[in-house]
Amino acid sequence: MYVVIVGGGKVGSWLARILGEEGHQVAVVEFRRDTCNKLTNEMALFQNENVRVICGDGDEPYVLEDVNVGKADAVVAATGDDEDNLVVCLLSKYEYHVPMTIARINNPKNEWLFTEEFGVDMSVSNTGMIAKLLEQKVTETG
Amino acid sequence: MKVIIAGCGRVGALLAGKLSAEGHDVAVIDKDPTAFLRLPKAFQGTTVPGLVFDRDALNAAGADRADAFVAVTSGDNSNVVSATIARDIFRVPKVVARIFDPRRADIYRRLGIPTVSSVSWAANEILSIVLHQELVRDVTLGDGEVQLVKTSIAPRLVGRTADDLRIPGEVVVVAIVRGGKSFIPVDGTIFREGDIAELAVLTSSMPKLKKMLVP
Repeated sequence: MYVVIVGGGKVGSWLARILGEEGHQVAVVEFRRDTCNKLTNEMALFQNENVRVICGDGDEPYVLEDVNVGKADAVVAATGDDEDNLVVCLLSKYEYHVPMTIARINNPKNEWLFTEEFGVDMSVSNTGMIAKLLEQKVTETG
Repeated sequence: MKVIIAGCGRVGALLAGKLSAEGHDVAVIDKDPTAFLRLPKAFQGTTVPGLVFDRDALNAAGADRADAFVAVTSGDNSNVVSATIARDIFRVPKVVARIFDPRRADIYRRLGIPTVSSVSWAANEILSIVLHQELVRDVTLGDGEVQLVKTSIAPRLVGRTADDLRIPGEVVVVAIVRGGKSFIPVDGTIFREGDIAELAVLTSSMPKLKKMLVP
């Protein structure tokens, strides 16, 4: 599988490593120069040749075209900004026709936006998940 | 008309002031409450502090009954996200987003979100000033693809017809000003000395027009 990950922070870099180790081709797009360098060193350290790190803005069409997003089997929008993640999905789905888009939700308040309108196939919210688990626990223990 | 303006920067504040002065019902949203200081003193509308794509902020601004939604924050992504919500979720009939990046502006336009690309507009304006001084630009249309320019008719064009300046799909004389009065040329209208021609021209065809006027 070829996966493009936009956002190389904790979520994006960890995902890239796992996917790379499993033999998938991965491109990570990261905007922050220092994070980008750290990520490149990290991937070299783990001799993860399947992972390519690209320093650039993943919302820019020319950056997405540079990583050949049109050929990607999946795009993961994992930046720390919800509006950026939405735009990554919107462009990937409706402009580059990527078959699967997955977005990270940072602020649970924005969860309602992660829908088909923005080209989001699936979304993951850490905070939302923890809240649900706690709620479950509270109901169980009565 | 009820208009929501997302982003109270220079453009947002100017628009809000103008619309409010014309008696429209205006609501402005900005994440930074100090941004509302840009609004003119006479501003009659409401201000809503909050993110432009936050449901509570949009509800407070009255997005469900808005006639128009204008996204002019400093962030392209915030603008396209809020404009999409306004169009698809709140069903606002008229939506427009200012997008700095010309590439994305094109893509969004194709996806059905009307965009104004201030960057390509400014670049086209500057180009036409720098490169075509003998043509005076009156109006630019859309994102600057077509402009209306005026030029005084050079002596060598006197006696030629307005049709001689026509390139189908690229250049056309839309009006002639003669003796202070304007009219629309018909087939065979002949240029006279002192005429000023008003032309609609594709920005990309400006060099061709320039060559026709000053060979």
